[in-house]
Amino acid sequence: MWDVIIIGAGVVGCSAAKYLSQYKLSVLVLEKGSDVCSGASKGNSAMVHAGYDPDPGTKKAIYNILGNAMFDELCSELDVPFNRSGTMIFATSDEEMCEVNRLKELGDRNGVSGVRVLSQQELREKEPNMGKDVVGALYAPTGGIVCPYSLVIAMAENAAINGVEFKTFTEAVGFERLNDGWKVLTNNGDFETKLIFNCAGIHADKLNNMVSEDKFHITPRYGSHILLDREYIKYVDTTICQTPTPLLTGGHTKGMGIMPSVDGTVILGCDAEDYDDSDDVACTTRSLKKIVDYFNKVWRYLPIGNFADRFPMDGIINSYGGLRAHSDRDDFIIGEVLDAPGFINAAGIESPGLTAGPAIGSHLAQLAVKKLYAEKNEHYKPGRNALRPFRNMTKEEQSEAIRKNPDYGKIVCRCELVTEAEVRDAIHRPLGARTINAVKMRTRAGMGRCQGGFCSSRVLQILCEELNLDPLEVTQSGGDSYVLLEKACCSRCKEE
Amino acid sequence: MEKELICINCPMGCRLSIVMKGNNVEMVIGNVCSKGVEYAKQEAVNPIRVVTSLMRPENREKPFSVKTASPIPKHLIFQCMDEIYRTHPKAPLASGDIVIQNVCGTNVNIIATQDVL
Amino acid sequence: MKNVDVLIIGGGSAGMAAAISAREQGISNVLILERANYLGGVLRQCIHNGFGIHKFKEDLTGIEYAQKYIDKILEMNIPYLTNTFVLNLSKDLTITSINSVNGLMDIQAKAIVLAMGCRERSRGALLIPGTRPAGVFTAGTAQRYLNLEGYLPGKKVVILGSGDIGLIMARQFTLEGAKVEAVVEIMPFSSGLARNISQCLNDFGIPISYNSTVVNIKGRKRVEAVTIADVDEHRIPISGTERDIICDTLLISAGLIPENELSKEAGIILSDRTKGAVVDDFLQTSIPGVFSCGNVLHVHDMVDHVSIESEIAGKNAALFVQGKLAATSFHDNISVIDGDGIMGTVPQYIHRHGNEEQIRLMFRPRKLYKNCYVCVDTGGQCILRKKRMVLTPGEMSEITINQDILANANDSIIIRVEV
Repeated sequence: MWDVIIIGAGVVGCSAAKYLSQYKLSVLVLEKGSDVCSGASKGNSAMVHAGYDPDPGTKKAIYNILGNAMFDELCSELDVPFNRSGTMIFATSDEEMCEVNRLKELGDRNGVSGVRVLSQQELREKEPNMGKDVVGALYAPTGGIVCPYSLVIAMAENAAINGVEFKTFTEAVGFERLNDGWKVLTNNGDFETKLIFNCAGIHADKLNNMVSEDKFHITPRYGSHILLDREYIKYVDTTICQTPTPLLTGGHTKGMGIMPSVDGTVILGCDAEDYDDSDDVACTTRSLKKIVDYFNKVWRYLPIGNFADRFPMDGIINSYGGLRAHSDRDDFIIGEVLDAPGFINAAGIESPGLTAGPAIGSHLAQLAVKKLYAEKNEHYKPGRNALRPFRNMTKEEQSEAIRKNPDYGKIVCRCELVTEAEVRDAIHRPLGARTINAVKMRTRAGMGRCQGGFCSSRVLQILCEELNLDPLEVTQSGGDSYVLLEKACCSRCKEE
Repeated sequence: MEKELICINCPMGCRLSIVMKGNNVEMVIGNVCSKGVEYAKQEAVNPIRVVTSLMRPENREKPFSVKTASPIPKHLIFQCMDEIYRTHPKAPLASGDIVIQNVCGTNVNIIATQDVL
Repeated sequence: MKNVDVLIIGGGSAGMAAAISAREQGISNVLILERANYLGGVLRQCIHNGFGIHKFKEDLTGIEYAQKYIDKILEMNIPYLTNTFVLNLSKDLTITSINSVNGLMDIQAKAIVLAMGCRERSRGALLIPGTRPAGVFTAGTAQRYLNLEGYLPGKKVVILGSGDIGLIMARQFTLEGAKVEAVVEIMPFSSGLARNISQCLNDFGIPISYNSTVVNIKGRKRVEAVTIADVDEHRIPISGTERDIICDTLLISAGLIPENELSKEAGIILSDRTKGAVVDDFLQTSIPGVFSCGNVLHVHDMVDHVSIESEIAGKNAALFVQGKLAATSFHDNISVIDGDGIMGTVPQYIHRHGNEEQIRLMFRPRKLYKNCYVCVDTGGQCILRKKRMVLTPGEMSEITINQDILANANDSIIIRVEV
């Protein structure tokens, strides 16, 4: 019998796994996708929110503040790129300035340190290229940007190194109450456990509603983002959003922002659109057009507007999106289910979910530790032995790396400067890559300007070499997402 | 009998109307130069194409490229492909080597277009 | 620090032609740096014919065409390094390269020829909405899987864009036994060569839909269908015209983009129209001693023209090293301006008293023209007028100017189409 089964390997699930692995507990993570970080945890705007936005007293507010404070140490321990580059909310009218002041007040009530309204002079000092029609701004120095999927993968790897087991392609389909715990029924076998953490994102409601009369509903709420080529990042130092008046956001989101990603691209987004289908992560023309139209309108306010006179359609390298898990209770649903003891929810984790994730995971872990009287794991190893990305090395470090391992001298992805050494490592790490997308998430190969046009065939070859696969077995993202369908030059002779 | 064709000799892409009696091209209209007439006569009566493809050697992992040494009748393209797929020469091969003699009875050979080491 | 006289970045058709030309001009210290593990660039995955008709008066496959140059490189003993990637390029003509044998290598060149080619426009760059299943490829990537690896990446294919690579793959997929359901082109005309429409689509009954585009991709794990819609004169999809085509593959052949990251890094001035370097008639960029040719300068349709252009670049790089190239900056030269109906003329500057008797200007028309004239004006006067039967955006055009006509030209000449 397991001590804890975590359902869902997103930011909350993996964070809980990491913190649980610091104790002598047997932990199993079940993920229905082909890899960790399959859901909203990889499709968000990468923002680590300062915390002035959620209503005071809500779980969103509390965990936002707690989570935000954890990022420096956590990312440092796990070698995850994180930049506390600040967030600025600008106003172009008196009405918007009211909103700025309201957010400042909220920030104070929520305990956000350093949040302040900038005077015109301070604003111009901070962002000399800000549009001249901007009348004022809120500045939150504790806001930041992280690489969300690197964070989730890093926490998962650390958990795995410390004994947590992960099963992918495993979907929870039912539960049975036992005397001393639960049986989790899946498509891949049944598992008994003392405690369950329901971290199942947009499916958390289905799971909860199987075991409890206290039901809730999750509405998948889609948000798209557009990525600009890394040549634009020099014009973007800090995250800048316009004041999110309801007219702008439809009352649903924090509004749209322009973000300097930690990887050198520029992120623009995001909007919100409710979906029925809870697995259909599809960008729509409507949502992409909304982003382009919006930024064309506000371009002149932004510092980047000084350097490019309109939104650079030619500079777009990709778009992406994710489904937020919006609960009908409008707040995070965290805690043990009263009529299903041992079943613990972490549901409705929409924005500020990424920021709150580590704090929620830590909290869940502590719940389990108390319930199970767990002892500390004295063999716990922090960190995850990540390879330093070649592109971030100094020239001397690069030379040394190649000397020690010539595979560092073979460039696989030339847009993001990813070497063979890193691709092979991604495959052999704990919870190593098995698919093209998994290699992409761990190394960035395929995330650049050409979007894998040049490197994907080499990545496929390396996957075959390292995992002893036939090229026809390699998938884009697991399941039957095969890249190649048939051996060429063969179909006719097969018919004989 | 009338036929419509697009000449492919140059970017002009003249739309040609051809009047035929049996297998004889009696008249070509719409051409800007004489190349159009030549093309039309061939294309209307016996359209021919160069076929390029991959072929698998018996003793190598990857296929190599081949082509018909000169154009063959268009209606034999897929038959030609069948014959190419059923042929597995032994490497090594040199670019220009004949890998199929007289494909589909056309008197045209299939030759390798790259060295296979 | 290694010293090279003429350094060539890129060992494809452009790089090889430039290297041979530099060597023939008398430079022995030539070095080609190529990132793949073979010379020939993208020609090595082109098993189809149509190459070399102008240059060699032969109808060759891409591989055969490349092999002629590779044989020459080997015969002339021109040094080259494969699996070698150039990390950066500086204004002072130094580069850092990387490979697994030499590690990082700093090279000081006396002249550099940029021959990096281009990349394909991706699904992401086109912002095509929909899911992210397997089965979405650029045409060149599919060509690579098929011709270099020997695998068929799709059995039921829709092709977005009528660029030549897509048309060629339409034919090859069909010959391989796959079904190409349709080619979808957003413009009212093809962006590829007319002969390819005929021999790759018409021959096999593959329909092409003009003024249409893909507005959605469906499928969870692998492509299951794409949604096509008609577009209006502003290329905006018209609501209500959507229809689905069931398929397992979407091939994208919607444009090539010159790979000028290194050029940008070095501060070389790029043209917004060609996306390549601004050059003079020596094919020299805004940095003296740095030359550009082939697809990285402007996207070509025929490799024969790449070779001819690259020979000029290679020769001039050699002349530069030999101190025989007139040292003038762009501003002393005649600037070449795109007039009515013309875009992307190369070169953008011409020396008033240059080395060559004739200068070849290459350009693309903005739209389809039949029975027209290409005119070159200066100071309001027409100094050259040539009849053209047809000009189409899918085929690069040219006009040759004699050096003596330019003797009295103003600071600029305008090249335009007259109907």
